[in-house]
Amino acid sequence: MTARHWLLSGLLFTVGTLFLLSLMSGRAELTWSVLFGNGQANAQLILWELRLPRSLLAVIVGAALGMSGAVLQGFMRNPLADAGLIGVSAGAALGAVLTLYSGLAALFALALPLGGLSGAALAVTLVYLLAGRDSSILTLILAGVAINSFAAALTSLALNMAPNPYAALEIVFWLLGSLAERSMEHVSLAAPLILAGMAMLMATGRGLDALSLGEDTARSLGISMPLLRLLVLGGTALSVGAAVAVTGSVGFIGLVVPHLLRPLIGYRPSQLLLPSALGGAALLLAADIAIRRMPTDVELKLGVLTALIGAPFFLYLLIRTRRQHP
Amino acid sequence: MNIGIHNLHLRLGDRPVLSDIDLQLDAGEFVGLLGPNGAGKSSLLRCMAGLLPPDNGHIHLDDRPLNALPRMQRARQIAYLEQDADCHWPMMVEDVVALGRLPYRLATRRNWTELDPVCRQHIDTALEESDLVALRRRRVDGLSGGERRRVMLARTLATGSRLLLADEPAAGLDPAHQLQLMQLLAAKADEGMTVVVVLHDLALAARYCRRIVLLAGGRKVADGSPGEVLNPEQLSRTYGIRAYVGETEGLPVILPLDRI
Repeated sequence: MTARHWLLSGLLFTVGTLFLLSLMSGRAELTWSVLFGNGQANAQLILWELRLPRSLLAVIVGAALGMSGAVLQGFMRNPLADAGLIGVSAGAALGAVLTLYSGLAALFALALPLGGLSGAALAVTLVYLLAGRDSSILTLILAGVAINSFAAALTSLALNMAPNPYAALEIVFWLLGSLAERSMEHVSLAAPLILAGMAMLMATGRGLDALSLGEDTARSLGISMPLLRLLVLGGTALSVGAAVAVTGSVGFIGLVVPHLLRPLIGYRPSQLLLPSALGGAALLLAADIAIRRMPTDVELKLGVLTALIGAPFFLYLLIRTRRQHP
Repeated sequence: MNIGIHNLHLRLGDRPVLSDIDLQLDAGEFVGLLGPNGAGKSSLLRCMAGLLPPDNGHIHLDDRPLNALPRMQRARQIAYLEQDADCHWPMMVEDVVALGRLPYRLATRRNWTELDPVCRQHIDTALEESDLVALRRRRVDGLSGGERRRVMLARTLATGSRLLLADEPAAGLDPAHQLQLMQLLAAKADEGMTVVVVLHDLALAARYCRRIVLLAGGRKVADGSPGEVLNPEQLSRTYGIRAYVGETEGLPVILPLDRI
């Protein structure tokens, strides 16, 4: 077994353990025997209808965020990149907020995630068209930043124009990101898209490896930049778009997880993809367990916790890196 | 591998970068591409590598049009060393060198941690030739600038291509490693590899290259053996310098004396 196999097995074990723990976390106390079909009908209902979708979503959403972060950091050769940078998160948030604002979300349950998906797709298409087919990665980042700001501005506009404080509050709460009260319908909507997107992202490994030597050298090594760009953007739009559409914005997972794991796999971008997916799943499960076990009156929103922990942690990473490479 | 360039023109925006370049290089030639800054050396190299499509003219590899060559096949036949090439992530030296084998692993879909023996052999040879065996498990961010240049060269050699295009491979190397680099490239040419290097060190070019192509203002102004091309008159015309051209111990010496 290589070091990477140990890492993957360790991460897989962590995800499995946290998944079980997540099923057991929540307001109602369940016993472990519920897992084996024992206990009251109520307990069974809570486990299968409430806890399971929530835990499943934590796994796939975390995996999508972690892997897309690793891919985008490799693609842009920028350790600060994540899905937010190319407008996916902001686009998905705007799409979802518009369904809330227009009242569409109240009409049928899946209107909200579908709105988010459309928003993500639109944002990435715009970034792709703006950046042009043969443009450099820098142009892509700039186009992403522009679309990102514009989507955020439109979201603010929707908040500003909200008919009443409750509508505004609903939007704000959704934006904070949460896995609470999601059903199997959400899982079955998001899972195929997230998996399809992650399959596209997995195909970028060799291209990302080559890109660590620069765009020209990557092309000289036989990498097709237009194809790579399509895989990166399409994969991110599908996986993170679907994730944000179902959970709202959950920050810092995509940024922090690849950072943490990169030294463990020898910094090779292709080797980082799978560990980052598992790491993202583990981190999101842990965060979602934490907010349910914290003795607070109001359950914290998931996005709030990840940002609260993620931001200082990221600072710590920066300071540590600066010490190593002054 | 021979490479033929016919009537090549290249413009970037409104600016003509290369005009009317004709060049025929045969297998085993060791060619120094020389010229003042902005002469179009790097652009010509990038055209030859298939990275920059010319506006006019043709490039043929072994009598096949370069732009008709499939991407992966081109990657196997041409190794290109970018000017100021560097590795963005602090990877291990041998991992960086292994990137030179990407054109092969893509086709075989082999996991890159389980390199086949041929790949392994190419990587080991490239490390030896570039004097990197002792550094192979070091991270590139802990290396000096010159050591990193050698890692990048080794990465290029690991491809095992028949055409090597290197943009200023000698820049930043100490004198001993400059000599080693040129000897290595000369030996590669003797084995049949076509080697084209952009150089600024006139004496180094005069001593090792068997053919000098001199560019100025995007045009080919001279093409021939070092003795024919690198004379005081030509140097004053192209570089605007007065230079001492002589020899010591039977080896050429070129010393720029003054700007004109």
